[in-house]
Amino acid sequence: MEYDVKYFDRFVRIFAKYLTENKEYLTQLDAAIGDGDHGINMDRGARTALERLGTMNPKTPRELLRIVGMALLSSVGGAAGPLYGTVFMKMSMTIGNKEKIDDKDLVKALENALIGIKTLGKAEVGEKTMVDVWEPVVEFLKEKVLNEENEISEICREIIKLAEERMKATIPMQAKKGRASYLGERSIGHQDPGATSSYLFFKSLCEALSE
Amino acid sequence: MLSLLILSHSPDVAKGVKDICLQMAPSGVLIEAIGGTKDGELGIDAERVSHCLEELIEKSDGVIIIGDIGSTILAAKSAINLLGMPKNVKIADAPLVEGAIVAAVEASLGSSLDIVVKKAEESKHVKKL
Repeated sequence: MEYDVKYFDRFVRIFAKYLTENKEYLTQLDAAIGDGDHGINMDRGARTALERLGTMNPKTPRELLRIVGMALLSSVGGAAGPLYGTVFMKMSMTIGNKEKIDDKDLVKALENALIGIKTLGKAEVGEKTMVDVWEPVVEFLKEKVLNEENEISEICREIIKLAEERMKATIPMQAKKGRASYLGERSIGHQDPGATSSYLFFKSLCEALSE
Repeated sequence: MLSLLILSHSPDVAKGVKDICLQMAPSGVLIEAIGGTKDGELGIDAERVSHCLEELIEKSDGVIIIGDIGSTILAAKSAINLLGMPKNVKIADAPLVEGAIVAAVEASLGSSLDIVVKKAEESKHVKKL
């Protein structure tokens, strides 16, 4: 499969739709253990990204992902702004000048996005953050796509299932990073909002394949 | 001359900390403060942080950044990444109010960037009682 600017445009629109649909849900999750703005912030980011894509009309994946990254950086407000901003900027940088990329390039872009998140937030798996979804999914993609040479479209169901499992696995964790870490043990028993929006990210990435 | 960039989730806190710093160090250091989202809500506008940092790098010999919690530091780090990791920019691991005051005074006295960061970071050990 080849991924061009149209694919990334579909992906961003699906992700934006999910963020807007889940605005209340993400905010409720964040209200339990954080500052209660993740849904509002991500919805604002999604709408800003779509507005800028509409006016700037990018012609390449690099341009499109950069516009989305800057839109999230400027409008999201919470920690998710720099974190998701970094995701899109790192993907943009990895793809470089290519008009179209293949499955392996996409996995490498996602791997660099994960490295960006971890460098910025200093979070590791098990600390109740977006990394709890990102790292296992990226490891799975590296194994399946880089090593075993599958196409992402063949393993979509498994990717979504894994992301969902890892999202739910944040419920019993005690937060070690971010605002939720101030709560100590009281953060146990709640699903992490960043892990939840990360699940929506990978779900959107897969669903954009089939449209 | 060095510059100091104050970051807070709250526009009021950012402005308030800047006011205190200016009282202590009215000249000899360039002070900017950013707080809140684009809509004036609690949060941080990382794009604005990036643009402001770019300006301060041009206008001064070095920038020390001090933020309050979590996402202000992430915003600062991502701005530094976006600008290609400039060497003369440092984030101080210091409490916002005390650290910013110490940094402003130290910078206004003409100390180097490393010294200013060190002094600001030492402020977290200052005993108040």
